[in-house]
Amino acid sequence: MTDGTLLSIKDLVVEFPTGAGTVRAVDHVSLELGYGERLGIVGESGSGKSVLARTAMGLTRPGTARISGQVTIAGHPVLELGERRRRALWGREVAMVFQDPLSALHPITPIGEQIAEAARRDPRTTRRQAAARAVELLETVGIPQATRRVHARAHELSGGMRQRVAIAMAIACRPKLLFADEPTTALDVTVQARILDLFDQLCAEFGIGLVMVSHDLGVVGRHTDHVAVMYAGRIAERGPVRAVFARPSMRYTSALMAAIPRHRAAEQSLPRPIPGQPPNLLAPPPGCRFGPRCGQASPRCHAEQPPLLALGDAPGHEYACWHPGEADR
Amino acid sequence: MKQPIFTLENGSVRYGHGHPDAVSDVTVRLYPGEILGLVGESGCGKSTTARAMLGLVPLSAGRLTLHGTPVNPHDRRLRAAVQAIFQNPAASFNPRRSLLDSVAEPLRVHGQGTARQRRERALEELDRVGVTAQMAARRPNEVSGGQCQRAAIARATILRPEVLVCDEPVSALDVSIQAQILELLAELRTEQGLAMLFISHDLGVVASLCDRTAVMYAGRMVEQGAATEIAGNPRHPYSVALQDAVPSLDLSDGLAPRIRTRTGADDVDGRLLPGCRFAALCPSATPECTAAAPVLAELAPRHEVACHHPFDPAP
Ligand SMILES: Nc1ncnc2c1ncn2[C@@H]1O[C@H](COP(=O)(O)OP(=O)(O)O)[C@@H](O)[C@H]1O
Ligand SMILES: Nc1ncnc2c1ncn2[C@@H]1O[C@H](COP(=O)(O)OP(=O)(O)O)[C@@H](O)[C@H]1O
Ligand code: SF4
Ligand code: SF4
Ligand SMILES: [Mg+2]
Ligand SMILES: [Mg+2]
Repeated sequence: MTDGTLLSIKDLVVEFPTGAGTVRAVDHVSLELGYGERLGIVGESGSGKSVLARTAMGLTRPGTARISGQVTIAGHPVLELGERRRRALWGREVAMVFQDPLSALHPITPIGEQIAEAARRDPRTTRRQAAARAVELLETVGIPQATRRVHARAHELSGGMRQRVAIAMAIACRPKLLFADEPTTALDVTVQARILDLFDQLCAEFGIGLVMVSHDLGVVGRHTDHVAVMYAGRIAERGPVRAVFARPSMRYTSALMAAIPRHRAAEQSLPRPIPGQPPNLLAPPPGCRFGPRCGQASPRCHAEQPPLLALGDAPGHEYACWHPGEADR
Repeated sequence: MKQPIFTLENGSVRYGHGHPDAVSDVTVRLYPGEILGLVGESGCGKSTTARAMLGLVPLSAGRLTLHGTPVNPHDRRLRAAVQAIFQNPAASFNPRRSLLDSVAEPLRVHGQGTARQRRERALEELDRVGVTAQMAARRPNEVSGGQCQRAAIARATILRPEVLVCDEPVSALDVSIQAQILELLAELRTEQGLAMLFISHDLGVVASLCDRTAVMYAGRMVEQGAATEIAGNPRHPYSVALQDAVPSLDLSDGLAPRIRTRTGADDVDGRLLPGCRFAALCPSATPECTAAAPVLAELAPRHEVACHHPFDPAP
């Protein structure tokens, strides 16, 4: 690990033993993120995004899953730490924002108290300081009339305001890394746009590193620097956002981009479907996981798993495909 | 010009006394072979409009017409002519019965054919929407969301309705599957000349599928026009804000929003305001806006806007 690495994931495998067999939700994933950088993880539902994020944060309980590989956050070996030391990282080194802010909020306790409590995860913070910090944090996350709003309860707030409060709690102890798992999926687009702007602002202002998990490639496009596309537990493609968007190379990435409806296209056209369905992770296909749905698949694809290969022109742009190229739109 | 096949005219719905109207004075006209998209933020009244058109909630004002004549919401003609699909198809199927049985059910209710003929017809209909006989034998919880939505479409079309009301039919689906269903709906429009109301909160979906788009805000219709116009050249300030907010895959798109809504008024219920319901957030609001509610008026042929000061793209 180099000094510049905030998050390092090496060869992570996460498996869930179930009655019907073993589900490998994360399949040999490696990723790195520098301090202050923003990474988007995209993929369709069930591709392993949440399991990856939760496991990297140390939230997946070893009792429920078999985990192998390494994760370090700001130098801490997350998977090797005991329960107590892992918990001590939460809030102070790394925090998470979820799709449903109510999962992080108590419905009745005034929001100011909850934020203050989050701020007190740092033992150096006194009760008084924490109360002042709650007001300051509400202002930071864009909630007007903060001195009055500290007394509000979660159920009195709109969905967007609740998510702002959840973000305030997550950043209360100035973590270096923030995971956001579908943070705007439940919100209206106009509210989503403002919350995404807030993430931009927090990253710029406090140098927070961000891992944004989303099923929506568009959300990730403007609000992260790097993107990793997941399919059936594996990284299909990754690299600088602009490079990946401009030249999607693994066939799933290009098919995914063609399947997204174009909003302000000059000519109206229907998005292009991807045939079939994502694989059943209890019995995934051999070789390339996208093989059964891919128009370019060759016998090799069905036999051998493609490794991540570098694409010459953009540093860090890698794809896992035997026959790379763009979907002919 | 073509006559609308099915309309809601100046419809209002109120869920109980003491509540403001969930939708007020809303007019929706559906034409054969045309898909009308209905967009707007959650709570603006899209589903209520759909329910009113399906006769599932009573109108406190306004009426429905079918083929140009007023029709009672419980009229049997309406039941046969207008069918619906919803966001969560599994919930609308009997969990203990096969998809095939459920799809054949409307034929039984309408006393058509023998049991054997009904099965044949249901299998045919399922095949047409891409559900194999093997899939059809399964129960709703044994198939994927996409397969289930296909079966729901088969059940809705098996009686050959003239109108299909679709309330967020692709919102729960992943994009790759969503595109399959959109293709199927577009085919139904073209091949069967179905008139459709297509509700979605996804403006990209509506821009790519629909012929016309209607935008609702706080229970009122604020803009209606060709789908390409509403996506590319919206004129109501709310529509502009909505279109600006859509995250685009095209990173070279202009970054600057055309309109900045006023902040701090997010929690205001527009339905309780006198005059324009968007006034608390609208950057173009004037005293005129709070004094009198704007009415839908034609700005250009077949492009209606309810605003005292429509957005001008090139002022
Ligand atoms: N606790 C668990 N037990 C068994 N399977 C699980 C568990 N958590 C997740 N999975 C499975 O792992 C896969 C990846 O899930 P997830 O990471 O939640 O996907 P995503 O966030 O991309 O939608 C899915 O197939 C899911 O069913
Ligand atoms: N069954 C109901 N009882 C009371 N109020 C309702 C009911 N259904 C919807 N509403 C209210 O009516 C308004 C419009 O809701 P709805 O039509 O569901 O909006 P949308 O589909 O656009 O999200 C909202 O304020 C909502 O809270
Ligand atoms: S490796 Fe083969 S099957 Fe997989 S995406 Fe590439 S071409 Fe398609
Ligand atoms: S009527 Fe006035 S307040 Fe309403 S949208 Fe138009 S300019 Fe804005
Ligand atoms: Mg998830
Ligand atoms: Mg609705």
